[in-house]
Amino acid sequence: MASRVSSLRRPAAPTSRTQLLVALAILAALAPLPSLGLEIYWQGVVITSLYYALLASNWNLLAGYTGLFSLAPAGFAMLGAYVTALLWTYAGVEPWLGIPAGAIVCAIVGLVIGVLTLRLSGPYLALTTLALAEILRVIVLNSFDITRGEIGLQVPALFAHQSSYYYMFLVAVGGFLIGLHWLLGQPCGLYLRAIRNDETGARARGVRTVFWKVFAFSVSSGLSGLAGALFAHYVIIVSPSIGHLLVTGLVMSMVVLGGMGTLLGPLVGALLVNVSSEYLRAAGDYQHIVFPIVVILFARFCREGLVGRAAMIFNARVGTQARSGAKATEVLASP
Amino acid sequence: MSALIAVENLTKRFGSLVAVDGVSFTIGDGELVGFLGPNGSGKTTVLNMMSGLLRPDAGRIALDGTDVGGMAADSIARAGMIRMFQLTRVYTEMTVIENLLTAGFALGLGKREATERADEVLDDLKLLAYREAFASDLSGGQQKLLEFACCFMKAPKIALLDEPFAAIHPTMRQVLADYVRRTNAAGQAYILVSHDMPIVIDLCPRVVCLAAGSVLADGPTDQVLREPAVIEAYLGPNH
Repeated sequence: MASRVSSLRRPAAPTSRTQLLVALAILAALAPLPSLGLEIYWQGVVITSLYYALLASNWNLLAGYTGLFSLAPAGFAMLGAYVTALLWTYAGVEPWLGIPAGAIVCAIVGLVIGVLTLRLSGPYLALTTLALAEILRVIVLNSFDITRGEIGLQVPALFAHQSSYYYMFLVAVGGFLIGLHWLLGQPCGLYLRAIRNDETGARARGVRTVFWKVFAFSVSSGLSGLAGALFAHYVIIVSPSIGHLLVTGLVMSMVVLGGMGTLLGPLVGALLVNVSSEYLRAAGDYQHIVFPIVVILFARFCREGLVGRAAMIFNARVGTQARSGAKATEVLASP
Repeated sequence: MSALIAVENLTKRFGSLVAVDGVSFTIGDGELVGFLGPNGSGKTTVLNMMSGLLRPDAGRIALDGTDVGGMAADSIARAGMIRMFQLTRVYTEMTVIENLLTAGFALGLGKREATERADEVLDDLKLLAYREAFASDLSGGQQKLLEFACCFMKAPKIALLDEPFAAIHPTMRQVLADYVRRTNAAGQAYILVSHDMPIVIDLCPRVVCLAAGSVLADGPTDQVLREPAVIEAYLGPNH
């Protein structure tokens, strides 16, 4: 019976095809909104939400699937944004080269930090990434001659119309989720989940844990840099505020609310948090209190997040897990 | 019989405590050796060093002539010395088949080969009905069997089993013992750490007995179990 109860409470499968399809359906539902008259302002809100969805999905790859706790998703986004901005400003490099360059630089920085910290167990990655994010931000702030400090650097726009950015971010999020779903279905997806579940057990059974942790961190850093670089050419001004630690906190809250270790959760969390924060603007700075409180409540009462909880309810209704539980009980009872 | 494992003068200290003190033994190809000793005698620490989870302070561990002392645990596993833990370590958030495929892929099997092998091992260990179940939904004994199955996704040169028979249902114990006996007869080498004397006597022709971090006795099981020093180590001086 215990087995059956726990089966019914089973949260979403991390590699669920259903989740991918629901995520793609959400993106497809968002796609026609600009042509249906969605205001420019709200298009901007959706674009920002999709940017956060990219950062949140990247952070989810680390925390949700691999069990690595990074405090630098916003820091890497800022680094990617500054790479393309600096290349444009000082070398005249076109954004279409600057954006991948931002991703590559972030992936290399992620690789170096991963190699230095991921052989160690404990909170070293979190501490190092916290330090990195703040060091990068302080360097940018204080290198006024190069970065123009808090004023920021201007970068060229990629498109003339906002709706083009809208579609670009839709495609980017959709592409990322398809890629992540594919990755998780590969042996390396199993390794990452095994590392999160029991790193010592994984090592003892032949999984190159350090290699795969460094791989995940480097890929996640590179993709955060890519998101930051894309976003830079949308906002057309790159400032240190992109890398603020508050942004990292916001990204984490999106993942926790949506569902850590689920494919769909970060997208749902990003849309929910960013859109609802628009309605909380009237509350001024008090809105910064709302999300931490919600995150604490979710961490206490709904650790699986919205998508995880929805999957549990779905599993209970459909009863597929219950049937497998019953089957297991039959087998146990058989001689 | 050639030496598959050669452990020489293995030593491990934790601060002032000498947990393993100059332990030496050899294990031949296809041998099944029981590791005995009271709690705290250093059995698990020896296994931890052999499997790369602890770095020895001194001594040498050779697998098939290659020094593996200080090598990473995953490299040692891929070299053919695989480890099963006393406290079960399965990926509880993954399904049974995912647990097995992870081990199979890590040990170099392709997808088809790994899937076929997984089904074969699950069938051998009477776990096939649970193929798609989450590991967390299995009983403690079934989880032990699953961890054991993971060790045999690719036949290792030697399997280090730490208390595989502890706290499992007698039926499962029989399944496990039969598998060990059958594969050993086919040439699979084992180190078996167990406090379950009937099982050790049944399965292991030879035992190594540790006490206070040192080898107290090493030889045929019936002889070692009759040695007064071994009896005293287990039952105390006033038994």
